[in-house]
Amino acid sequence: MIQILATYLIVALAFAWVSWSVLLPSRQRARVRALVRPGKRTNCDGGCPRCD
Amino acid sequence: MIAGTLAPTRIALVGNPNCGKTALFNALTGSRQKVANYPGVTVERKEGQFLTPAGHRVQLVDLPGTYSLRARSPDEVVTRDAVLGRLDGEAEPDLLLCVADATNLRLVLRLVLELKQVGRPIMLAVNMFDIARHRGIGIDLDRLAAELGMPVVPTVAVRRNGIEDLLNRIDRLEALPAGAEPQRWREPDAGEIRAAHREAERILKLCVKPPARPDDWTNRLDAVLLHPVFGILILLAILFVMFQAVFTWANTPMDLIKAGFDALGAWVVDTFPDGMLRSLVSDGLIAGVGSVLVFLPQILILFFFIILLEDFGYMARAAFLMDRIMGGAGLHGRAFIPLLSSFACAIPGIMATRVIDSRRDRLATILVAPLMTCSARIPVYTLIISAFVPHRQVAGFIDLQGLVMFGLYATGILSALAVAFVLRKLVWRGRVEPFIMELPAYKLPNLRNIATGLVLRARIFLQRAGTIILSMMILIWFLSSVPGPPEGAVGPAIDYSFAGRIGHALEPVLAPIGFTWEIAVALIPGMAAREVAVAALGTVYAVSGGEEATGALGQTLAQHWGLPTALALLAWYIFAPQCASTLGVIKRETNSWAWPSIVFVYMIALAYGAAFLVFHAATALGA
Repeated sequence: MIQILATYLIVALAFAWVSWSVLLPSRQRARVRALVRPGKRTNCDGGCPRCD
Repeated sequence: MIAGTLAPTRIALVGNPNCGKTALFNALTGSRQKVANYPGVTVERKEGQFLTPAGHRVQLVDLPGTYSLRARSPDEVVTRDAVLGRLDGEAEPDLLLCVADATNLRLVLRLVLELKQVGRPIMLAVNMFDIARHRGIGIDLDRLAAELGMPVVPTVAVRRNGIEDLLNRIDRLEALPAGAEPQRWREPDAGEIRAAHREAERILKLCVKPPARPDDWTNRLDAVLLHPVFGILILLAILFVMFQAVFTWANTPMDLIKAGFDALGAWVVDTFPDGMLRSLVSDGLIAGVGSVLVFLPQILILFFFIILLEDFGYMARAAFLMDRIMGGAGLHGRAFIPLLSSFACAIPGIMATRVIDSRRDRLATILVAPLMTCSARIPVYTLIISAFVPHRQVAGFIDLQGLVMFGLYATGILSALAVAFVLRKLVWRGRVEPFIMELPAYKLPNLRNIATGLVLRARIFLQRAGTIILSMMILIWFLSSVPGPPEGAVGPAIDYSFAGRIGHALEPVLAPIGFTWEIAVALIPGMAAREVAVAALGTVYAVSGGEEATGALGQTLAQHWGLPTALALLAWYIFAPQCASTLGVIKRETNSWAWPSIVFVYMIALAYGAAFLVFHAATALGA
């Protein structure tokens, strides 16, 4: 049972990460980041593999 | 400025292209931005911070190189606007730190004279001072400072020489009296440009003593390397050796990484109890991520050559050699650097098109940049080549696998030229602007720069493997394992899973090009990044084939696919727009969804057409 729960938890985390970093458009992602960290001003709207 | 002190809080680095601004930025801030020995590496502003010896925190802005504030290309507009304080939400710099190439002061002097009119405090860092001294160029720094009316500091940014002196000068900087020098820069007319040119020549004569015996090594080397026939042959030979090395040097480290993952997989199978979690770790994570990580040595060998040639100063020569060929295809000579950057990744390549003035030329380059063979294609190519192309010598000394890899790169380049040619002939007719590029001096490659570049590439690759590839593989494993087969089912379990159903649904569309349903499953997550498809194939075959399939993905593919399918997949990957980030950056750079849509449609059509042709030709030839 614990194995199955752990597996589904890992899958859910992976799904959350893919939704955030791949499926969510970069502009929306930048907007969410700005909401969470309003002090950090950035001209980048994401999309670059160097920092994204 | 900090109240009560004269120390600047915001400094802008300005200078000609390829004078070492980014090297100075890295030396001051401890950052690791890409530096290379050719113009146009920096196309957007970058910020960093540092502390002066007096303890002042300074924000440093690295700007794209320019010869004048009369901006023509988008990168020069960024520099002009940053210097003049016209960028939205950004204060104007407190100090302009102008960087000069000590071996070529003529060009920067005109820029310095122009920058003086901006009315901000200004300082000159005479960079690459060691090379100038080595060549016997005498620079009277005190006289130069007196003539220009600003502090002048000699530096060797790549070796951090002169940095301390520069920081102390920044601390001791005298502020301009309030309102003393109002901004009076405006676009100069022809007469003013000629006057500035004369003034620069006068200062140059007073302060710079040319070498008694000019070093003609550069000329001698250029006579061979830029020769219309020998130059092209040498360029081809260099590229050829590069791809041979990718296959011959990488074997041992690749075997070691593979052995490491095999051992890890065996340990997981022995340690974990049979069940979902064990399958996830061994089939999903180790088989998937491991099948991509094994290509790290090949990527690093390729980039070792690229960084070495960049540092040596050869890449700008390669641009010069390619100009005639690219011009014939309708591409601007300046497109070479963006296209070269696209061999690493199309995203910085597309951003580097900002150095191109004309919108048409820039769009043409953006449209063909994704056809350059980016590093994400390397795992796909090498996997298929290793599995299907025999490891033997041709003509006694040429490795066949390296030859095929060379052919794939060459096909990517030729396709880009062909698409550009069609675009310029059918859509954007007109003359291609002439190409003027300053050839940098040859330099001995800097080991630290090479090491930094390789660490950066390895970090990017491992970061992708640890984030996007890892999470994608978990999802692929889930889709390949759930739901399980119904009771009494006879076929492989994966056939009943979500992935199996999706793959079988797509099979009719991809069957004409010889793709199996497993390839169809791998191509979907491969849209996020090309190398994800390799990991996805690893996971799909591991889930469907049991534990024995996790070892060597290449062998598994050789058992399941025919040669025509493998060749068709290679042809597909030359053209397919399998990278969502590239399409995203095209949208950002063109400010329109039309261009990424056009790129997607034309590339997918080319990919399908090429794979179809290759598959049927190979089948007809009995391959």
